Amino acid sequence: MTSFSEKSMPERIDINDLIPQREPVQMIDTLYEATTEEAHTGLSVSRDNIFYEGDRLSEMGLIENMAQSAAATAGVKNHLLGIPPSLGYIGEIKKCIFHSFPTDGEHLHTYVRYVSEAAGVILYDIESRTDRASCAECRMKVFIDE
Amino acid sequence: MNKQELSAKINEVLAEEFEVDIETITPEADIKKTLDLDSLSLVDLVALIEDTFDVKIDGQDVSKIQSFDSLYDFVLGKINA
Repeated sequence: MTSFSEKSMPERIDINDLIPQREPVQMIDTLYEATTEEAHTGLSVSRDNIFYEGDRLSEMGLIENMAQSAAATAGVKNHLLGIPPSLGYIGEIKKCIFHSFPTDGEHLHTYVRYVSEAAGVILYDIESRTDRASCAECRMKVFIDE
Repeated sequence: MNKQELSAKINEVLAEEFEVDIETITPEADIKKTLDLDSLSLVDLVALIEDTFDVKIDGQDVSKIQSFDSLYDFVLGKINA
């Protein structure tokens, strides 16, 4: 398994190499680690975020962050092949639980773990949390537009 | 685990996960029709088998399996590999 962890990668990988989303809808600003089986991403939450509603990041913001983090994991395969990142589509979200919502100034950490793959659909377990508390978890199906 | 024990376990977990009557799961029955599997839910079958029997399987291989009996043989082969 090829890893892009900081220990092994020759140069820091840019999140733009793994997912096609760009500002203002890009919901990842830090890539801590990404392999074809797992990823750890980060997002500094601010009031300027397009998914910020009221005094917190919205449910949709958390879902989008988790989906892009899963797509980043899938994007590692493209990166290894030297081809541009593909769009990933959410096929289904199961076992989704929202525990809390990050607020302005907090940093969101999202952890993705590959579960299985069949017929072009990839299954991931995902959890997002801040230093303060767990925010959300789900099992997400993603299919990549090859 | 012999084939009879394995098939009983597979039938039990599949009936629960896909919410079908366990009596409809027979060796000759078509997996996709019986479980109402589509391209999105096939990965659930793969994940369930992997979790239940602690094996790693290729989704492409599973997509070619037609009957439950073929699935039992496939999983048995993975367990004994």
